[in-house]
This record gives sequence, structure tokens and C-alpha cells, in this order.
Amino acid sequence: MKVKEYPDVLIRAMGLFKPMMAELPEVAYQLKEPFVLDSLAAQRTFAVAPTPWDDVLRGVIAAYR
Amino acid sequence: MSKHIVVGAGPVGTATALRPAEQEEQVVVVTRSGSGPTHQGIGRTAADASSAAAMTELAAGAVAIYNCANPAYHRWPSDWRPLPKHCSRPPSVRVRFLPIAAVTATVSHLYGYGPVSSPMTEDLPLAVQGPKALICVPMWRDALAAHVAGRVRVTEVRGSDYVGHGAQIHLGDRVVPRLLAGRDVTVTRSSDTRHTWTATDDVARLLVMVAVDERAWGRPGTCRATRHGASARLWATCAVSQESSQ
Repeated sequence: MKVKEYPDVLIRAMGLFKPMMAELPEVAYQLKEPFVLDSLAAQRTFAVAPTPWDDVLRGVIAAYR
Repeated sequence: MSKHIVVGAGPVGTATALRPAEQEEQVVVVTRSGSGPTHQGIGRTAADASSAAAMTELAAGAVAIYNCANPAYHRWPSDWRPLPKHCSRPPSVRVRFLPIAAVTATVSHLYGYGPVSSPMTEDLPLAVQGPKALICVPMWRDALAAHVAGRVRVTEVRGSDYVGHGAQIHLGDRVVPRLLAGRDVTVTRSSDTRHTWTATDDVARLLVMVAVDERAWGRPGTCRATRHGASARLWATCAVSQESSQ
């Protein structure tokens, strides 16, 4: 089982047919570079924490089963 | 029992509506089609949320308007601008001496920051880059200016790509069923780059929290005296940072 990536040229080509895909080049930096959010200020102020990643994925998987 | 208005019934709007409803509060979900979650505490209304008249009527007596509308990616320029423009100016804004009604809590995103070299926080400047940022950054600045002028009370929550039940974009139909079947998957991003995901339930939880918490929106006039006044009214969603697609 492998995780593969769509090549840039294919994404651009798909954009010719699917308007949604045409939007991807504008946000390519979000996909290719580290894209990291620091929510510590909100976590501290409101005493909340993100749902643990494993729990998030378990929820997604459960929804598809 | 307080009244809450939720605009939009996607994964975030649905999760947002359910929270006050489960606290036995009154919730009205507004979409063009009248869709939304089925719950005894939730009324579903078909209305055009970009209509000031419609929103004025719906929001009468409400404590909060949650703007969870998220138009299709390629329709942001046409569909998104009219919506929050009215939502960020609740009814009272046009009649100066009426008490300001609902707090408007908007779900937004990270496009306004543009490419940056460090983790994104509320203090980061909004460096407008690209059409998507050009749509949303002025909306926030307008809303903030109106807030500072005492005409509205606004807050905004910004998250990254969503993950959760019903969030389709990256970790959804194209990926999960194939993984469960043990098949290869193809993703639209670099599969080994650090990337923050935001759980839809987390953004809903924070949105409802900041809408009714004075620390999130402050009092008009005092926010300018606060060192981080401007940023104190927007919050990064609790996020999960993870190597993607692992």
C-alpha cells in the first residue's frame, strides 16, 4: 500500500476540466512547504486542546465503515 | 434559552449547530436550500444570508451569528463576499442607537497569511497574496474596523484544512475508502511535509466558545488599549499538526 502524489502537470491539466482543481496552483505553497498552525494562544485562553490525532482519524474511519 | 443563528450546513455548520442545540438552546440554521442537521432544538430555514432584510428578521433576539458558509473553492469571488458582508454587520449596525445584538463569529482560514516560514499565529500580519486572500482579508479588516468603532461585535476563528466526518477535500472520499481496502492512494500534496489539519469538531467547539466569551471580542473602545487588541478577537483553531498522509 503506497501513498503517491499527483504530479504538478497533471493538476494543471485537471484544472482545465474541473474548476476546483484549477484553484490548486494558487495554494501550491500550502501543499509543498510546511504549513503549520500554532493554536497555543487559543488553547491557553479558553482551556481547550485539539482532539488527539488518533481520535480524529478513528472518527473519520468510523464514518466510512 | 438563548437563540443562535448558524449560516451554512456543511460539516462545520452542522457541528456548530449541534453544540448549542444539545445545551437546549434555540438554534436556527440558515442555508439557501433549507438543509441542516435534524435535531429537536434546531430549526432549518431556507433564506439568502446575503440579504440584510432576511438576516435582520432571523437574527432578532439572537446572541450569536455563526458564519460557517464555505462556498465552492472556485466560487469564492462571487459567492463569499456578499455573505459575510452582511453577516459581519448584524441588524443593529444600520440603526446606531439600537443595542448591538448578536456577536458575529466567522469561520475563516489561513490564506491571508500567505507563504510564511514559521508556524502561523493570531499575531502574524495578513500579507495579502492571491485572489483568495484578497477576498477574505478585507472582510476581516472591515469587520474589525466596525468592531473598534463600536458598531458590531465580531470574532473570527481560523483553521487549516479540515478533517472529520463529511470534510471531503483532502482526507475524504478519494483517500479513506481506498486505504480501508488496502489500496494505494494518491494525494494532492507533498506526502512527507509537515501540515496542520483542523478537526471540524474542534473548530465548531472553539467558534461557539469565542462567540459567547467576552475575552474573544472585548468591549469596543477598550481593545485599542490592549496590546494585542486586534488579534485578541481572532483565534487559531485548535489544530492537529501531523506529518500528512501517514
